[in-house]
Amino acid sequence: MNAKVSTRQVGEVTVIDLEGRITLGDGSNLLRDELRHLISTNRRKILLNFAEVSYMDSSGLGQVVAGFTTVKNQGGQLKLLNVGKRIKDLLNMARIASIFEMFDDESAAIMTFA
Amino acid sequence: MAAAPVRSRRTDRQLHDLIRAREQSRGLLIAFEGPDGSGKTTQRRLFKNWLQTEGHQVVTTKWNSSPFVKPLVRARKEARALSPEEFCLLHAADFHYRLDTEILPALWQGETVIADRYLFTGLARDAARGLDFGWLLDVYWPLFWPDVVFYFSVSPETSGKRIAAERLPSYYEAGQDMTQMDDSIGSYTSFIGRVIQEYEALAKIFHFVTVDAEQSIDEQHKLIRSLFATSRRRSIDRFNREVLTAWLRSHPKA
Repeated sequence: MNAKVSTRQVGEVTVIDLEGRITLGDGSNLLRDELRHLISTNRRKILLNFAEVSYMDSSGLGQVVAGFTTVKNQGGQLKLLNVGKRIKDLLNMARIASIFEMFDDESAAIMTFA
Repeated sequence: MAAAPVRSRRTDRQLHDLIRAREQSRGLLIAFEGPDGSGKTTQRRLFKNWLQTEGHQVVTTKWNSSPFVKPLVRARKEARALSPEEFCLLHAADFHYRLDTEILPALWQGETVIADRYLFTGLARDAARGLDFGWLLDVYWPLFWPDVVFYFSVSPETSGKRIAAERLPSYYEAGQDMTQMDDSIGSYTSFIGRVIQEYEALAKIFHFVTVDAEQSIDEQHKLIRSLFATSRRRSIDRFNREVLTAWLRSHPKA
């Protein structure tokens, strides 16, 4: 399944819906480009929705961490939504799960953005 | 019959207190990472000499150097019999052995440990061989984070030129097991590009300190000194407590 990245606005929060394989090449590059675009247009409250992600590799994970760091350094927030067990395991094994706020409910996640 | 390993009877609380008390006097772990031909070994030697002149007790640990695993890897490489999975598992065994017998004991005694390649070498090369990143993290689990990872960044072309100027890359170094190419230089240039892509991803995930390895040796060395001076030790409690706790349990005299 090809990767897709789409965005929607919920109040001040931009939700990025990821779909398919977020891997080296297409998926990872789509995510990188979308995050760059959002940051350059001053949208810094970002919720990454993993509900439809089937697989993520090191390159995808690297883009998520890089996005988180960039947004945070610019005074914004990047949070994760609907992270499946497999990706949660990746984050735990790399010992970086604790840097992210993760949610299973979109409305609850939106409410937490300052 | 071999004797059972001696286990510590210290409680979790006692071990955590012991680790916390050692936080400031423990040694630092500094990893030098990057593709072949990036000049990291040269920089590692210069850095080690400088640290020693600054009064540090320094220990070096090298990739694939444990006495049990190294001969096996060599024999399997000579026979060109290594699958990507076996390649990975042997290097992980080497790493865990050195972590247990070289790296952690030295850090605990307050010595600075410089790793000429660390587990990220395994992650980058094995992922470039098509192995699943989650599976790799599992094999290297539990990860022991270094305080600083200096990543020597070069282009595939520079890496290829530097290697070709010295020698022909070996079969596995050139990734010929993956590319199936007869030309070792051509294979190397193709394979190292994949390895570098993996390194770039790891640099983001694990917060490497990137050094532009296209610069002169002297410029890089000066940069490393200044980066080291401004780097902070990583909290054991947050990142590495689990590994140290397990190690202390099996080393009750530590």
